[in-house]
Amino acid sequence: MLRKLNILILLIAGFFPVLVLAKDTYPKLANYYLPFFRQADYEQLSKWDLLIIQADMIAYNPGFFDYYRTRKPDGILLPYIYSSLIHEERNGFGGLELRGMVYDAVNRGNWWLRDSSGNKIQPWPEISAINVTNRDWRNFYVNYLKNDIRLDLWDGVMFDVVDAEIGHYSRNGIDIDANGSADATSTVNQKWREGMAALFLQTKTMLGNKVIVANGNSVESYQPNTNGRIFERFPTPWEGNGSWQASMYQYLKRLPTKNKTPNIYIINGTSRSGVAGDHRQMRYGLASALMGDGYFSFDNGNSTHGQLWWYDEYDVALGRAESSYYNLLNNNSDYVEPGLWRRDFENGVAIVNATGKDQLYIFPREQFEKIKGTQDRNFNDGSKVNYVRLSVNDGIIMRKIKQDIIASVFPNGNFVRVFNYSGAQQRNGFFAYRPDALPNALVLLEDLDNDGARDRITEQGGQIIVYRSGKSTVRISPYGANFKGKLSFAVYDFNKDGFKEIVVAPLSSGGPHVKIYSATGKMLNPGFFVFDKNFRGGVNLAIGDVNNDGKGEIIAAAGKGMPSTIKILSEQGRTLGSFSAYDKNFRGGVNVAVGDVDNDGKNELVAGAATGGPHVRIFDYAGRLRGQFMAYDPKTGTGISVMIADTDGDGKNEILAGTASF
Amino acid sequence: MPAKTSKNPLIASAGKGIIIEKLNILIEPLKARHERHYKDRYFHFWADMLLAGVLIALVTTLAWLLFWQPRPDFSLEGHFMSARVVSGDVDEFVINYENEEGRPIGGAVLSLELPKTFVVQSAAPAVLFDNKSNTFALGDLDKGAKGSLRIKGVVQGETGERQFIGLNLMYQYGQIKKQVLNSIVYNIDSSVLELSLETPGAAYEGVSFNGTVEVKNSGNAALNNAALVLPKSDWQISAGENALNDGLLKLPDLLPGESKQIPFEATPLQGLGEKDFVVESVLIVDDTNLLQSKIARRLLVTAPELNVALDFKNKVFEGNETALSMTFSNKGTSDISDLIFSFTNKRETMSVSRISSEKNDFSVVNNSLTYQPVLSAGQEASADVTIYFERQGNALNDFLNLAVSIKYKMDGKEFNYSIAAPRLKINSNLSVNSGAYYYGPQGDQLGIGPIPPKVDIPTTYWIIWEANNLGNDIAEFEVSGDLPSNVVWLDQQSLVAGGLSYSPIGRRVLWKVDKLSQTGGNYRASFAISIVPRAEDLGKIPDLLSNLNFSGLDLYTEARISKKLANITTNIENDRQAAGKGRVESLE
Repeated sequence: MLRKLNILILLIAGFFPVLVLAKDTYPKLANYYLPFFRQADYEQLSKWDLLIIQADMIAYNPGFFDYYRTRKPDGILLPYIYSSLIHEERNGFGGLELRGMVYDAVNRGNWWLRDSSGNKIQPWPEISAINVTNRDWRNFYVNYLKNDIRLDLWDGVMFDVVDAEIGHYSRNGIDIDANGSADATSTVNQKWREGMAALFLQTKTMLGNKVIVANGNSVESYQPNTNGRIFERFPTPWEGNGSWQASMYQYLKRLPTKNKTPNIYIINGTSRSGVAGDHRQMRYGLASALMGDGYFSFDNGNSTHGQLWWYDEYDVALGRAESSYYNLLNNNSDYVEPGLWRRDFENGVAIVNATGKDQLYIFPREQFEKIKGTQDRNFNDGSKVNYVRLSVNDGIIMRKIKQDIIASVFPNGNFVRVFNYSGAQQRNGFFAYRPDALPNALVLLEDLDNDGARDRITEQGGQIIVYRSGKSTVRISPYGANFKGKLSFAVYDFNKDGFKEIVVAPLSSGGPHVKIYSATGKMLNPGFFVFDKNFRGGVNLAIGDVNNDGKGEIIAAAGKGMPSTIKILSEQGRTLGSFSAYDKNFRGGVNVAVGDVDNDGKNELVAGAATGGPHVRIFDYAGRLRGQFMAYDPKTGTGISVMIADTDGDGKNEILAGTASF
Repeated sequence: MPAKTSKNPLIASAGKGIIIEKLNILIEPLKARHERHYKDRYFHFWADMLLAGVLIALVTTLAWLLFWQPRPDFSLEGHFMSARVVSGDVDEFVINYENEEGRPIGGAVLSLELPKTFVVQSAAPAVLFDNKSNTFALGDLDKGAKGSLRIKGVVQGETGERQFIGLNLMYQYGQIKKQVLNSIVYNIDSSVLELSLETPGAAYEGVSFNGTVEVKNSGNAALNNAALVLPKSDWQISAGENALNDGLLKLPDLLPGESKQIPFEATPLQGLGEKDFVVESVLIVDDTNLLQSKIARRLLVTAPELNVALDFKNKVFEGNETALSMTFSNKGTSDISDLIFSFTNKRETMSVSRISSEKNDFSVVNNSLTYQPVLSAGQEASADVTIYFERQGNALNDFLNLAVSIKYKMDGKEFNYSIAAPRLKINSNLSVNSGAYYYGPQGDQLGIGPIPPKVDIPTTYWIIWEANNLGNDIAEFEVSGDLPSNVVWLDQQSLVAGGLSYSPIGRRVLWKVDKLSQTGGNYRASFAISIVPRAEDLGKIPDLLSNLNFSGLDLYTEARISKKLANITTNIENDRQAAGKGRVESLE
């Protein structure tokens, strides 16, 4: 029993690195990138989840591997290698030592694939074929892969030109068995497949848990020892009848039952126009890829494979898959056939029109938001829709409309706009309203007790109330039963015990007395005054680690009636810093939120004027202004609330500005 | 030994006369003592004399200790500088002192007991004066030292009142504490507040007249506690914008020499004949009114020959017009001609813009209504007047204070007076903005689906109701509307006040707010609805919400305000971007 357990543990441990490799959020993006790139390209290349690059990069760009791994811990790097071809370098292999090594070995061993006249066969100009049926060649090649291309830097290998039939390689017949005469085409093809399959077996055996991706054939014998394939020039012209259905059947249905796990499939779309602007073709390929768990790449085709094209759709964080693919026009069948196919994700949907004609589909009870794009703006216009019109061979990615603000206190019923750090609106505004909280009350959706369930915290009638599973479990009256004014509050796990503490202050009337309670309502700190004791304009609170010391700081912003002061205090109430958010004469009150809004790993303080113009300002902890913008028409004179939250699930925060007066 | 013979003539002549007899009675005990003790030797006599002396000395000492006080030799007196003390004026009194003791004194402190109404402005020497305890610390004074102390301040009191300033000097004379008491007594002769009063000589019962009271500060101190007491009984008084509190009108600061004119409107209450119209000026000190001056007029109150009755047809005022019913009759013995009624609102928030009347006997010029015929003695006439107003401003708990100015001629004389219509409370300025949006006012897309709407495709709109209120608190506020049969309630909403509900049976949406503040606030309800146009809707502009109403109880006027709102259609006129795109189109 113990021995079996050990084997199981070893298997899992051995498998684990590859499990870690697989990303489970979508879209998964690949780049089939064959140029010899420079250091200036590192940053861009690191955006892709899977990269196929020249094996020679171990010599040309050794620094890239660490760079990529740091930025993409779950990324996949595969060396581009031929399965049985080699370039003839007329000028020698200077600078291409790896290839030179292979060439010399093939020459020495005379492992070339030759025609009946004994000539080397060149399926493409200056590319000579190697006889994969030759065991010595396979032995050498597997050893070469093992020892010479630094397999420790890669996650497997990608074999290009994996053909099942090679009859077309030569008009002069092919001497597959090197006996000096051409063999029948059927014999040639059969032996070729046997040789290729053997190469895969030997390579897989050598690689262990690393992956083999082949470009690209679905023949039966190639599958057991490969992890997947590339569907080049999708829909791949040489797959079945070259139709979408043919490629998708292999991708979704057949090959996953044949290939080794983890499955790695790459839908490689090709621009019909040769330029990046073929958005429809890109969408067609991407939406098709999203029907399965494969990767998507888009470039200028198999003649170059050297583009760094990036699309608006790539930046949509769809999140985890929530369904398998299904046909909107025939929901009862999962037979891969021409249809209007859809797959659902945490944060959105992908739909592809593979019907052969334009489609109009009305969502009877659903609404989505189109991407607010910068490229194909007519298509990705950011609008909310309840129907789609898709042209033939087109696809679309849309966001689910999410209107919950998580982990940031918001006034219930406010109309909210979503901005990035630069003040550009990211999506349509929406009403942030919870019917289970009072209108205009402050609400927070946050897991206070680390049980994985989101609690609801609200203020009402001078109390802080915590609801768990819809029931009121904690009620705090921080200022006595007679205080019925509004409260400002924020939460933070100061002592890192997994439970968040609640910090509270009067938002209107009452002195600026901040108090701290546990998540169960026990008073932890009887509090301190953050402004003059006689000030009655209220305090707006936020909490975050703004100075990167690993501890949370309490941010207190003055309410109406005093200058627009923002104070930064320790948990014990010691003032660490203070600055003015607006002009010294402005006494209309300040709302404040804390979070990393520019993705630099440090928290910023975002202020909104509580009355007057809808002016948002962004500060660092020292009070240095980092940015500002008007969240609404400047003539709107009712002030704004500010929140920070990741509303689209892409891991980056947005700035939310709310107004009660619509 | 033979008895010594006394040479005392009294003894010698004992027994002669009444006095002698009485003396004998007194002397008898002495004689007995003498016989017993003194006769033979002098020892007892001198012992008794000594004892008597000692006793007398003891009694004398005791009496001295108990009753004798050292007499202070210190002169202290005070007086006002001015011959006449006037209330409200700055005056000065001086205190003169002199040490008439035989030697220096120490620690002299003079305490002043001032009337509570006296306001100290300055003291000299200031360095010696403590204005919290009203004391002068004179300190040590040499024999014969003297000086003067001065206090300047505002005297306040009722005219004719006698006031006292107590002087209490304490000092140390050797080991003895001595005290000197004195006081300054003065009468308040008059007040700086001078009144003058303008009224007509006569007034009509129930008819208001205008008058003016002028108050002047003839003193040399600024007064911030002056007030007028206007008559309460027999008269109904209003002082325009000046607040009257139970007849008391507090005056703003009156600088020295400054006059203020206070216009007022007075209406004689029931009762004819001569009536006194009395106005008093007071200074208010510690919630006490100190009478300063008084002025009175005797007015003859008679019944007006022209009796006018005014009545509003509505109990509250709403909108911009109101109907006033006027009935007037000639109670005199002569004809009344050139009868003109002019209408003004005494409140600045609403002004009369025009009037109208249907009756042929009347002509309208500007805001005046002229009765064309002659009104004979005993004759009665009436008119219904519609008065139109223009809003000039807003006030909380506002009311119409309509004044009707009446002019007419009778017996060659002109009469001109005004009467007040009953006050009419004004309903709150309550309104609801109601509209459907596809795009918000600042361009955000709220709706979903095709615009213009298309057959068989749902289009979602957001209905937004915003309540605006100014003037009076409103309770039980509601807005409601009905969804047509092809419009779907999506159960998506957003509120900043109140509660929203939808009843599927009646297809009614109801928004309720417990209270709207008289100063307004954020009151908004938003909800989403969806319409799927049918084939028969092609080319039409369907309703999204119909039968819209709002209502609320005005807590000030106690009237229920109810109004209808226009139906909302797919033309969504409130939506600046998508307005007018409501006609249903076909799918293709």
